[in-house]
Amino acid sequence: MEFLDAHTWELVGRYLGAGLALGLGGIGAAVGMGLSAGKANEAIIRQPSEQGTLLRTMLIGQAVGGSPSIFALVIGLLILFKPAGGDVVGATFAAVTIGAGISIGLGCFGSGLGCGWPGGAACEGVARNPRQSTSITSSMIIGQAVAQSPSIFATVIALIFLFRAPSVTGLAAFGVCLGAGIAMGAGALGPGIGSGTAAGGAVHGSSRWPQSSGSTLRTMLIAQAVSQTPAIFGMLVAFIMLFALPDLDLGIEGFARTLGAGIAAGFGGIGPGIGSGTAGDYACRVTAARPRIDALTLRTMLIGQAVSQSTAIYALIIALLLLFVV
Amino acid sequence: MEQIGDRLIWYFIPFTDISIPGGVNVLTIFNALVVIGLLFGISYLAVRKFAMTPGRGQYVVETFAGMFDGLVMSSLELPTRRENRRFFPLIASLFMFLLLSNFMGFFPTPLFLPVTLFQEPTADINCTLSLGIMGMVIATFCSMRAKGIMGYFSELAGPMWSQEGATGGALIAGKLSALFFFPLNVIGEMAKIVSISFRLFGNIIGGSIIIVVVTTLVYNFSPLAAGLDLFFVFFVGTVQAFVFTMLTLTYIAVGIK
Repeated sequence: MEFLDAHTWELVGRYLGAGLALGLGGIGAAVGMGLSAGKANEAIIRQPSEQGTLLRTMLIGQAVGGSPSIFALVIGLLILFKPAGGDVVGATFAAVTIGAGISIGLGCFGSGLGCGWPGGAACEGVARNPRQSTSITSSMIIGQAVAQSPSIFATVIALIFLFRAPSVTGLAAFGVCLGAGIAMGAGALGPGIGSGTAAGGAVHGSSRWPQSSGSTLRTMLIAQAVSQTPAIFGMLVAFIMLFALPDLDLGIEGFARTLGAGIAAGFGGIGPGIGSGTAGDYACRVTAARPRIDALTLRTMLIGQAVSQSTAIYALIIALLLLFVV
Repeated sequence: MEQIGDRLIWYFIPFTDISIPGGVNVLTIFNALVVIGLLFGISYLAVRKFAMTPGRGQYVVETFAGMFDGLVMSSLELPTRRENRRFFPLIASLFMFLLLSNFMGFFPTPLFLPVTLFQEPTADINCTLSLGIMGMVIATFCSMRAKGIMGYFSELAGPMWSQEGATGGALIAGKLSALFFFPLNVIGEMAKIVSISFRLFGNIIGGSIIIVVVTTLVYNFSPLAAGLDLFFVFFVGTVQAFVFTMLTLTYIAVGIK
């Protein structure tokens, strides 16, 4: 900590934090927007007469799907221009800004990418069924808004980093900030993609079978909420590290302990998030086609998602053991 | 913005020296009581006079009740309406309580008061955790009643516990596999409580933190705050109240099937 002076540490934090926030946070939204644009092109070839409606649907989908990258932009600007002061100076300032950058960057990656699926499915659906374009657009917007809650969790953790001094100092502050940032950011990556896929399936289903769109919307909301469980586990670990950590060794041991717990909770959630999103995708399509058996579909989906999330639970157990027992 | 994460906690019963072990979050209790009072008031006004041709208020209440009645009926696949009466009051009142609780942060505090008066009871983890535990206890109880206590535990013991016609080594191996499956399934049940309660808590407290920080950043420019309220309080609050209720309902349905 002593090999750089306080001012240099603050500059290091600002540059790295803002770079991570926008560099990582921009990837997903851009890919997602491209996905919608590709589907829109395909749809215009199939229905040239509906060109105006399709263009509007594509633009709305891209605008709503771009908001995770706007969150990243806001946090990036806050990191760049936040004045250092109070308890948060020098190396601690670098720790909180880098942590905030990782959290928002990885967290907005997933949701931005996920919002591409409903956008693309909406363009396809409008081409197939132009008279339903209003209801297709509204179910797309609802799906995208709920798919953005992992990135909202990541924004909350980044704001807590920026506006509340960490309870530890020194090398352990780096561990806490990097660990909590990775736990939240990487933990939100999979769920963001997964809940986007589920929304895509729901938009597809309700454009093909508009009469069952009520049950499809219900299945979509539950599928998205359950596939966001790994993000919630990541947020839980981040909250524990930020608010409720028992007396922590301030040196390299505390650093390794918190960073390890963050990596376990964060990266452990990527797979389960994507996997249970895929389960939700199929469940939404099936519900749209067969609304009579929606209770059975919902139960099957929930059991499958619960099993696919067992790895996230193991990761959470490892993280909690690292923080409290070992 | 220093108030983020702070709580108004009483460690003593006021005007006495009787201590409360662990303390109690006053605002959560107060707001939950306000929500319960509001619900009582709405219910009283709704059932005061029923007419054959419903007025506006009665229409809204009847539509709501009918919608939830059908939802419970179709999710649990119950044979009779009488069975349905056991679950419908629980599910409908859970949804109404959560919906109003999530909206509590919208009400402004009178200016002459030094502390925030209204905040969401669901922004306190103790509230959502107790609701989650309540839901899982009910689901477990219903499951035990539907399958019998032995049936419930043999389901927890994994798929290989009760095999048809297994003898000798296969039987012993099946019983031994419970050593592996039983802890996993118990942890899975616990994780359901954690995920259902932290989902609601995280969404509500996340929204309130974003509203506080962003309104401070724009120097309390109120139209923007109102727009944020529209999304984070009304949209997210409704969706999360619905998701919590539906998940409780589905856990009960998974339990009794």
